[in-house]
Amino acid sequence: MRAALRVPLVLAAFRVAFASAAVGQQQGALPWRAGDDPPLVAGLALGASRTTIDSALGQPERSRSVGPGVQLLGYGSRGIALLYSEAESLAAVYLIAREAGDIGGMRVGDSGDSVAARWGNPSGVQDGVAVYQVGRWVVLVRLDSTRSRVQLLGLGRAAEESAAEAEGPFDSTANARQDIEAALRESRTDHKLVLLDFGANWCLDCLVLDRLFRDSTVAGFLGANFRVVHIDVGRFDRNLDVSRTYGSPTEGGVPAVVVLSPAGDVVATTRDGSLESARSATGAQILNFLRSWVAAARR
Amino acid sequence: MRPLAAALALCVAAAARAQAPAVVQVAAIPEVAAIGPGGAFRVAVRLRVPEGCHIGWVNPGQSGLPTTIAWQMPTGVSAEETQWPYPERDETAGFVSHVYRGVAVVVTRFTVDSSLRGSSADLRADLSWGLCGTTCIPQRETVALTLPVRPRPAEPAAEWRALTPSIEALPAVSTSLTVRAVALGDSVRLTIAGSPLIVLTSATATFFPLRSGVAVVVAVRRRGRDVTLTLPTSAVRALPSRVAGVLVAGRPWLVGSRRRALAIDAVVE
Repeated sequence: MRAALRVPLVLAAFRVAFASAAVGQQQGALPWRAGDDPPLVAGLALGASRTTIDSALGQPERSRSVGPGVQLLGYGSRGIALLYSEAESLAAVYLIAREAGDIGGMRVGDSGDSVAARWGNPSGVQDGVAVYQVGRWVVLVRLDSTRSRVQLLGLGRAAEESAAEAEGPFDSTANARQDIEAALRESRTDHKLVLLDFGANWCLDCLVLDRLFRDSTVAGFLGANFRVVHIDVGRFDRNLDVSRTYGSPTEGGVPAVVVLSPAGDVVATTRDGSLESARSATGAQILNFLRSWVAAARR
Repeated sequence: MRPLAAALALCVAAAARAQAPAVVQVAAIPEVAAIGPGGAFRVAVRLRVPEGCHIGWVNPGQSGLPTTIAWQMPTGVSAEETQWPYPERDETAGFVSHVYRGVAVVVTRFTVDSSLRGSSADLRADLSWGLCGTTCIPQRETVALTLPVRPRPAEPAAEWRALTPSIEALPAVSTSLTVRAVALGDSVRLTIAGSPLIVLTSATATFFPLRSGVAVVVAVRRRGRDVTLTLPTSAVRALPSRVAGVLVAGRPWLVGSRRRALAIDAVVE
């Protein structure tokens, strides 16, 4: 599941870099599990109606439309802001002052280290906001400009992946580096090449290329000579560090392929655009690519 | 307008890698040169998609990313629901996508109330899409415009008038027609009824579901003043209790109209 709000651009309003580097590898764990109901924040539940909100907090001190049917409601004296959608009612709650309350025991003003120690590493960082995903909802943490203290805490609905993103060969939950290591380990025994297939399920050409890999004219040769690792780049917000490790083949878009020797050396890359005709390619043409990469590895 | 954050996709041909990166050109075009309290106005966002490339509709189908727009406005200005032009149905290698090619004009209507302050109003639209040509890449862009605030509304801007054909073609709910949706086992039958002015002569129409599912081409049957068509569940699966989407025919639905696309939003009986 992608870690993003249903109204993700609202996050652009909160532009302070989250110090992901400062978080490091922490062993903490979230106090919720996927399937748990989201906690009440400031006494409000996600999905609360406007009547319920008005009853709990009174009239907002400020109101700003941030999209069709979507409003950001400000309660400055309480240190609270809400994202309210006509379609989904209360979509997110933001705490911007320490006295506003807590989410899972954390408050504005707590140290970033304490968040990481308590909750571990976030699921992702989007627009400078750390996103902890719990099934269908997310907790957001933004640090202050010194990257030491929590400046904002939020609770919101998670976006559902579109059908196009959810179905396909690219697994958003896979650990690409572990998958590559495992493939190289096996290849050191059987001497197959490792084919890194960078792509995304929303990318038509990536789907077409994957289908061509399974074409009867290709699959036999591919299976005999290559071990394929699908690497999901999401919306270019995932595994780009892995791409950089191998010369940033995704810089011009996906699909992008890197072929590794069993020792992990780059044998071939499509950074030169050699796969750009994938959509109109035939199985025989893809087979020629694969043959040329095998030949390159033997040189 | 700030530069695109990521504009690296190359679209036209493999040789294009050596050329300038392909980008979607975005422009915001206001209906009026100035706004005032108590009024309403529209802003069009024109997306020029590079040749050989496409971007996705709000429901991109089996591949692609949805194109999105989020407006930020000052207090006193409110945005209504954005009108999206209808897409093309693209079927490549068995994958059905709903795409925009060439120019797409997206229109949002705004209302202005008396709480608007200042001599001008700043509006900003944050857009995102996935640009696909021979490769695919997500892109974002922001367009901004500043409109003077005057007591009396201003005349329509000249550039707006040039958009008239695109605006008239936007899908809309027709006040002359009623739409009824009835569940029939594994399909939903739509009946578009009531107007003696209906002139549709197309044998088929394409239904683009708004939320999820893929576009289907369905037969259109005339029954007196009504037309009926049957949507398979593949087109309505995400909203079994409601049918929402755009129905595009080869010809206008009504006399005197250029509109080939009807916005459909009906509770399934």
